[in-house]
Order: sequence, then structure tokens, then C-alpha cells
Amino acid sequence: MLTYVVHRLLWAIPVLLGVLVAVFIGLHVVPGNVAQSIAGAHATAAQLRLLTRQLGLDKPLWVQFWAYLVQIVQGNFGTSLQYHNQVAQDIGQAFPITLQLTIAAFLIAGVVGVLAGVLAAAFRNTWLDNVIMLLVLVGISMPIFWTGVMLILALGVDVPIFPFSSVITAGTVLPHITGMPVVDALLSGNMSAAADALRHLVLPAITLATYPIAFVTRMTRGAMIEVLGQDYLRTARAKGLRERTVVWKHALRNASLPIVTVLGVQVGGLLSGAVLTETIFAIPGIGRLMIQAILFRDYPLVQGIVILAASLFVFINLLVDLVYARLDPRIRYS
Amino acid sequence: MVKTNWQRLLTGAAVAFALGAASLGSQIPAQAASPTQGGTLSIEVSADPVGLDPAVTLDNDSGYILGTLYDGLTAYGVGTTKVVPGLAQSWQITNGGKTYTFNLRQGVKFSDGTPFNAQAVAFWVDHMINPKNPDYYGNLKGAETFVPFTWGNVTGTKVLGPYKIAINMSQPNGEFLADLAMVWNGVTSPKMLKTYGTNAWQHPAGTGPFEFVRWVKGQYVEVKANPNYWGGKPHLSEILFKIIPDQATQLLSLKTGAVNILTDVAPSEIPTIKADSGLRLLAEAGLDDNYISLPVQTGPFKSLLVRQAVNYAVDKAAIDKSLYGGYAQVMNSPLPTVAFGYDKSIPAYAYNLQKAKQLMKQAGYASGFTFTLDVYNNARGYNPIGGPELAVAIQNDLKQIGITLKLNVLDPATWLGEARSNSFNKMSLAGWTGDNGDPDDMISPLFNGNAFLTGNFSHYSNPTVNQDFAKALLTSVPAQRAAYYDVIQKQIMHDAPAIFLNYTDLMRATTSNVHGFVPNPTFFYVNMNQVWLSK
Repeated sequence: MLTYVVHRLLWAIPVLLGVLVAVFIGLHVVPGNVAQSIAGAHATAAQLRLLTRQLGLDKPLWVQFWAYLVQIVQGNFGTSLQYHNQVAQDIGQAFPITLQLTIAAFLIAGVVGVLAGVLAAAFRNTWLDNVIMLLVLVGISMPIFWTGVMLILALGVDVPIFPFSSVITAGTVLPHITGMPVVDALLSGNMSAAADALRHLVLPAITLATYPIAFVTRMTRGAMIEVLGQDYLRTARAKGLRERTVVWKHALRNASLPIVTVLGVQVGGLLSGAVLTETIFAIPGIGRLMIQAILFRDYPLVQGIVILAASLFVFINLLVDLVYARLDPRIRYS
Repeated sequence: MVKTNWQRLLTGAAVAFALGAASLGSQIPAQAASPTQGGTLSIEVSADPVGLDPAVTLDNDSGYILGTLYDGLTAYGVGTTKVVPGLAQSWQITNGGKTYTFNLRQGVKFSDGTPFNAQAVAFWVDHMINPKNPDYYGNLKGAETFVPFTWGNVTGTKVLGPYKIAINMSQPNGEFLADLAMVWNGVTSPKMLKTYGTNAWQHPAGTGPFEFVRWVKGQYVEVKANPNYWGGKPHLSEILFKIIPDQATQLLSLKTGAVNILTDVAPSEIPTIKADSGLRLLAEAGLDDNYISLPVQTGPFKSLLVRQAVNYAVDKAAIDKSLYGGYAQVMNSPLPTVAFGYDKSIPAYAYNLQKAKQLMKQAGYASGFTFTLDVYNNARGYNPIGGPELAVAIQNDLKQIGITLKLNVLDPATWLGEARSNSFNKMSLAGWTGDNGDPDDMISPLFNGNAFLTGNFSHYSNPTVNQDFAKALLTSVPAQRAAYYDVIQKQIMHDAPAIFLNYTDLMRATTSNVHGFVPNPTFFYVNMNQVWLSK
């Protein structure tokens, strides 16, 4: 197993390199001059040329890329052209906030999706199944930005239960321990701030979880229906086991492989869906940072975020494979 | 019961008394509401500031905050771009316009406790013009900056007394005093620059009505009242600039009171704001131009007749009403109405389809032609409805005279990069938001023959106009400058290197408990010490 893990991690290096090359080329061939964005409307041609030289943008692409690679290997991801901060610092501040949102949405999607899928399968072709499938259709069809705004109107404006902007009430100061406001508030013993941060998390987490809930529900239902018809479950029932035990203990376990796959894939979707959610709810996460960086042609910041996202995908895929092995003893990696 | 005479008398007296009291009450003037002290004002901004050192920033989101933290040597009057004393109480211009001697305010301190005086000003200027200064602003590589624009001609300073300083330049600069009032020329504390060097942008220290407290990236910037502000202690306790990028969320935040002032008001939101009794819409004439540039050196737009024809063919009044909700005025000059030197007597190109067709026929284009129009895909300060919606309206209007427009929609960086090239030969949506109310800042980047790579997408170059631009900048006598710009704006209107569309209003929306807030045509939050919140 360890050999397998090391092997997979080593394979990640060419994958990351390939992604980096593709993004680097893509950023530089897209029209738009970052020096122009920085220099502003009043800059003269001479000032633009000077700035382009200062930023090293006048060098050949391969020279720029090589310099960047050498930098990364030394652990330096460069400086944001727009914000003048180290890229690692900007990402370090934004990523935990996205992580908090993604974890919350993932938990909601996992719990609600699996529960709804199991119920739909167990009560297949009844009114409960029909209602759940209708909600699944609605959930898959609704665009995130619509869901978000509707939730804000319903639960933030008309019936103002939840705040709908930022991650905590402005003016609240928290120590930076993990960078996740809920966690940092709990760790510092500030319960009112933790409650405030949780309240700020509700609407965006539900918004982000809507599509994954629907998708996971559907996949779980399908996987469960397949398993519920198996002979060994008929045997289990014949032995006198309660239906609840048959479904939750025996059937779900054997249906879990495809469900785990779906959940793993959904993490990628959650990270990309976070872009819209963060914009609507004014959450200062990686998604919003990425959009600003792309629009500004902030090459170092975009590349830094891409490296992070690609690494996450590699890691999550590996984690899913390891969970497979845990769930199914027949699977062995060498 | 029959009333006795006494009872009638008493009743009459009571009625007379009541009537008298009522009339007396109506003659007592209503007490003006006096400002409430304290409270937190929340202002929406759409993105993080880039930095809080005026010398190394020039994005709007930074500028909104800078206006509360810093003062310039000069300032803008409330709600205008008229230059008034700031940190300098008075000044003299000598040496043919090449020396400005400022008499500085006394008893002022920066928020870090450093005294404001002539030495502080000398250091501040030196750090912008002297590359050998260890705290030279250019040490921060890749910074956005207005410094060359204001200080490009300045050769040095001379301290003449504790509160008197002369600034010398190599040639006159007629807009220098207007430049000094910009938020980008807020005077910074020498201690701030010396202590933090290239990180000074994170540790602002000015003399403004508010002092920096904290900046939580992506969330908000907090500033608190400066109790010793020379212009009068602010009524507010603090201001929170809350970062909210999404337009829908911005408006909803205003409706719920999560923010008190909306910086970004889209025309589509106006009906909602006006229908809400808890909100107020503030609209002022904007310091902006919104137009479509025409490539004058190539193709059909080489012909003056064609350029004038397209101006007559676009129904600007209808566009102002339908797309901008009436919050825009038809352009009759390249200068906006609130700019120094604006001439209101110049006639606009009124909508006249017949005349447009006649001119096209005269030019030999009776059957029209096809052309490409570059369109930015976002909303811009001078065009809050965004590029595509406007472009479609222009496309429809020009169709009436046989011109088929192919719309080339681009993201802002790409759009600007393409337009700012010597080979640019397409039509383009274009516009400009003035920085200081001065006519040179407003129209030289757009119509000066030396500005092809700045904002002159038309590549328009009239030698007389170019000369007049140069002469107007080299004099500091307002009447002389106004005379030059009068000739310039009339010539540009006649030569029509653009479809002169409109000046869009500067709009802000506030909750109804905000008082004393007067938007400034430069867009920025200045004079905020006068703002207060009623309970």
C-alpha cells in the first residue's frame, strides 16, 4: 500500500507540470497586457515599456517559464502583480475560507444526499420516492447564482434570519490559527463569534451544496436499488434481520463504492462552484481571488492557485482510491 | 342647553386662542436637524483596495478609502471640482508659472503623531521625484501610480519657513493645483514612509478626517474618526468599507441596512431604490464622457461627412431615457458639464435621420458599409449599463443609415490592450472619467495627437488642436486656459472623431438615515467629516 501511495504521488509531478505549462501558455497568449492594467489610463508608452521590463514580461516565454519553475522549486511562488503580496500569503489567507465553505457544503451534500438516496431506494415507486426525485430534478436544474440570490431574498431579506455577506460580522477580530473563521473562533473560545461565523456560513453552504445533494441522491438511489435486489439481502431478510439493518448496514455498505466515487468527484465541483458562491456572498476565498487574478492578468497569482487546485485534485483522487480499499477488502493496491 | 353670553364668550376665546396658537406655531421655523454624534457608516465597495499609499495606487477601490485618510495641499469644494485650500491655506504662482509657493496650515498632525510642516512636505515630494531617496516610491516595482502625471515636471522644493515651501518645475503646468487635490496626492507621513518603505501601502498615515484601523483582506477596511481633524471633528465614530463584489448582493445589503451607502448603482436598480422609502438616490452631473471612437485615419471614417452622419443617426436622447433611466445628458462637448471650461452653448448633434442619410450620400456611402465595433463586456464608471447593451442600441441606430456593425465583445484587459495600439483601426466603445476636473486631464488623453497609446483610439490629430492643448497646459492663468479650451472643444465637436453620446450621472444610493453626504464629481469619498447618521 505504501509503495502504491508513493507511486501515485510521484506520478503527480508530471501531471502538475503539464497543468502548469498549459496554464502558463494560456495566460500569456490571451490578449491583454498586465502592464497596461497596472499602469492605468494615463501611462505613456515609455512608462508601459519600463513597467513591462520591470516585470520581466519582455523576455521570451520559455525564459519566463523556466525562471518561474526555478522559483517554485525553491518554494517561492512569486509576488502578486496586483496586490504586491507574496502569492503564498494571499493564497494562504483565501484557501482556508474556501476550505471551510467546501467542507460545510460537502458534509451537507453527503449526509442529506445519501439519506435521501437511501430513502428513495427503500421506498421506490412510492410518493416519497417521487417527491425526492422531483426535488433532485429541481436541484440539478437550478443555477447556483439563482439559488443563492433566492436564499438571500427568502432568509436574508424578507425574513432576515441569516446574514448573507462575508464570513463574519465586520469588526470582529479573530486570531489567525487555521484561517477558517468558525474553527478559529471555537479554538479561541469565542463562542459568540463562532455562532456568528456559523450563521454567515449557512446560506452559502446550502447554496453550494444544492447541486451535489441532488447528484448524490440520484447516484445513491441507483446504487442502492441495484444492491437491494441481490440474493444475499434476501437471505438476510429470511434470517429475520430487520429491514432497517438490511438497508443501512448491509445494502449501503455494498453500495458505497460508487457513492464514494461520486462524493470524490463532487469535491472538484464544489471547488469550482465556490467561485460563484463566493462572489454572491462576498466570501474572500480562492474562487473569488482567482477571478480577480485572471481579469487582471495577475500571472503569478493565477499560476499559484492553479498549482494548489491541481494538487488538491491529485490528493483527493488518491484519497478516494484509498477509501475504496478500506471499504472493499477485495481491492488491493500494489 | 342654551348657552349664556359668558359661555359664548369663553367658547369664542378658546377658539381664538387655538387658532392664534396654531398660526403662531406655523410661523416658528422648523428646527434644522442637528447632526447626531457617533455611529458607524458602512460603505459598499466592490473589490479590495490594492494599497493605501496614494503614491502607489490608482484603482478606484483604493481611492474611495484614501479620500477619508489623507488630505492634499489643495482640495475640492463640497460637491464640486473647484479647487479650494487644503493643507495649504494659500499660495502664490510666480516665475512664469514654474514656482508654486504654499503657505501651510499650522497645528496639524499625521495620524502617527508626526507634525505636518514644510519639512514633511519636502520629504513627501522628494520621495516622489528623487530616485536616490531611499524611500523612493518607484522602489515598489510594478506599482500603479499617478506620480509621473502630477510630478513629472517638478524639479525640487525649497523650504522657506516652518510652514512655507516652494515647489519648482521645469515648465508650467496649468492643472497642477487641480492635481494636488486628487486623492492620489494625499500627503503621507514621512515616518510612515521611512518606517515601512515598500510596505508603506499597508500602514497608511495621513492628516485626513479618519484614521486607519484595520484591513481584513476580502472583507472590509475599517477607519475611525480623527478627533483632532483640522477641518472639524467628524460626526461619525467610524466608517467600514465593506467589500461586496456581486451587484445583487450589494443592493440587498443596502435594503437591509447592512450598508448605508452604495458606491456602485446600476441603472437597472434605480426603480427599486426609488420605490423604497427607506432609501435615497443621489444623482449628480458626472465628470465623465461616454462615446464611441471612430478611426479617422482609415476607411470610411476618414470622411468628416460620414463621422458627422453617424452622430446624427444615433438617437442619444432616446438612449439616455431608455437605457440610462434619464440619468445621463447628451454630450454637446468633449468636456463634461462639471469640468472647468465647459461651454454649454455648443450645439449637440441632435437626432436627425434624414440629415444623416444625406451626409452619407454626399460622402458616397448611400448604401452604407460594414464595420467592426469593439465592445468591453463589463460596466465602467462612465457607462454603468455595460458595453453590450449600449453596443446593441448603437448597432440598431446605425442600421437605419445602412451601416452594419459587427460587435466584437472583449474582456476589459483585452479591449484596452487592442485599442491602445498604433495599428488600431476599429470603432470602439470608449469613455473617460475625469480625475481632477481639469480640461487637460479630461480630453487631452482622448483627443490629443500624442495620445494614440493612451485614450485617443480614433488616432485623431488636428495640429491646431494639438498646439492649443500644449499652450493651455503651459499657462496657469484660468481665463487664458478657458479661452484655449473653448476653441479646442468646438473644433473637436466639429471634427467629430467620435459619436458623442452622453455624460452619465454620478449616482450613489444611501439609506435614509444618512445626512450631510454630498457626492463629489471625482467619484471619491471626500469631506466625509460632514456626514452623520440619524438614529
